Amino acid sequence: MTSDALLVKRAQRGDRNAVDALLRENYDVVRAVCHRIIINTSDAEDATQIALMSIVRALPTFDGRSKFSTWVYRIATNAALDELRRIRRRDVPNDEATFEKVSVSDATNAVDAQMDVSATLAKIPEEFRVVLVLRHIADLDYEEIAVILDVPVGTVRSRLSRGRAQLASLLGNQSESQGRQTNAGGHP
Amino acid sequence: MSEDNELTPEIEAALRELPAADPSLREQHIAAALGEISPAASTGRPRFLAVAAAVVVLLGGGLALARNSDDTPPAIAADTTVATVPKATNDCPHTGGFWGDVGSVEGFTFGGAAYELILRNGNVEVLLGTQPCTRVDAIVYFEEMRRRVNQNELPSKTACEQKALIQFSDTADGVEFRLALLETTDGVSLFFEDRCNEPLGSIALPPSSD
Repeated sequence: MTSDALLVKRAQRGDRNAVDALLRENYDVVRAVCHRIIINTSDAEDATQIALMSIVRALPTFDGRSKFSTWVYRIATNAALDELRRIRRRDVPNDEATFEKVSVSDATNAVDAQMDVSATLAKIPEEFRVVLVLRHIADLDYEEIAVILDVPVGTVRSRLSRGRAQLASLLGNQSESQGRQTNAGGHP
Repeated sequence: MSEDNELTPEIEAALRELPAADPSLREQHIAAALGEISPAASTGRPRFLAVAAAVVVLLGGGLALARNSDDTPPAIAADTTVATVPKATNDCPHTGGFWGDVGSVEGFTFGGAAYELILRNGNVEVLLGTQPCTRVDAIVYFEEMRRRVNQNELPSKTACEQKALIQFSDTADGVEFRLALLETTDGVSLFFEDRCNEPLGSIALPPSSD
């Protein structure tokens, strides 16, 4: 049994230290999944919190048939998607609001670059964005993504292909635009 | 990343890079999640004592369980936890409930007799696996784990050649050690898996009556 599996077993028995360790081990990726799917920072932090709580509540039901990390990604993804649905019910155009928010930032170049990615992701349809996140952030293979999203592997493949194309295209356009700005007198 | 990746490394890196979480927010998130641990499932010395007291009161001290609890308790370490899969083994009441709450139970046989190994709080206890289910003896290993950590004798990934009756791992000060209970000619001995020639302790068990 691997040390991770042992940690999970301990956590399932209610060992607080083990639960704490599992949460810390998976915190960054849970947060990254939520932020990249939801985009809006405060909503993503809410989803992160909900995902972590869901992980703890659901721990006794983890049966070990999938990798623990896959199980965690599934919960994080579901939490993020639930949050997106909640945002829609709230009737706020989340993507646009976020894009405006990040566009007015005057932070450092590194943060600018980060926000470019966030803003770009916000322009990509949710169904493509989620697959991009699960593939390129959570490092899941097609089959695992298909299980999490409950769609055929072929659908994952096509969504990923289209999502990548859109992302590359949008980021490419941004780079060209920024290059022209720089040539014309520098980035603000 | 597999070869089907069609994003440039720069784009993929940008996707993965997220501003670090505010440390206080991170702690707040984790604390809230820890609050979701079911009280019934949580382990720990205080709960152990509370449940033990309840059992003793309810059963009037007449059970073997209560007698066993009279033995000197092992050294307790806050960061020590046990790590094996609980397994229902026989007709003793250790699995689940009272015992299941404070540690895990593994079964093994020696000399044709069934035994249970209870792991908790840095020691192992061997009990008869059939009624009256009384304790045979215990081996304390936590202090040796802590000594090794303090002296920087960190565990290696080697394992004992002899097939173990039971294997488990435990941690001291965040360092994980793998341990193995091995059968000997006159009972069982506990070893670190990377030190299979230095028993942490042994328990003599009666040979087969055949």
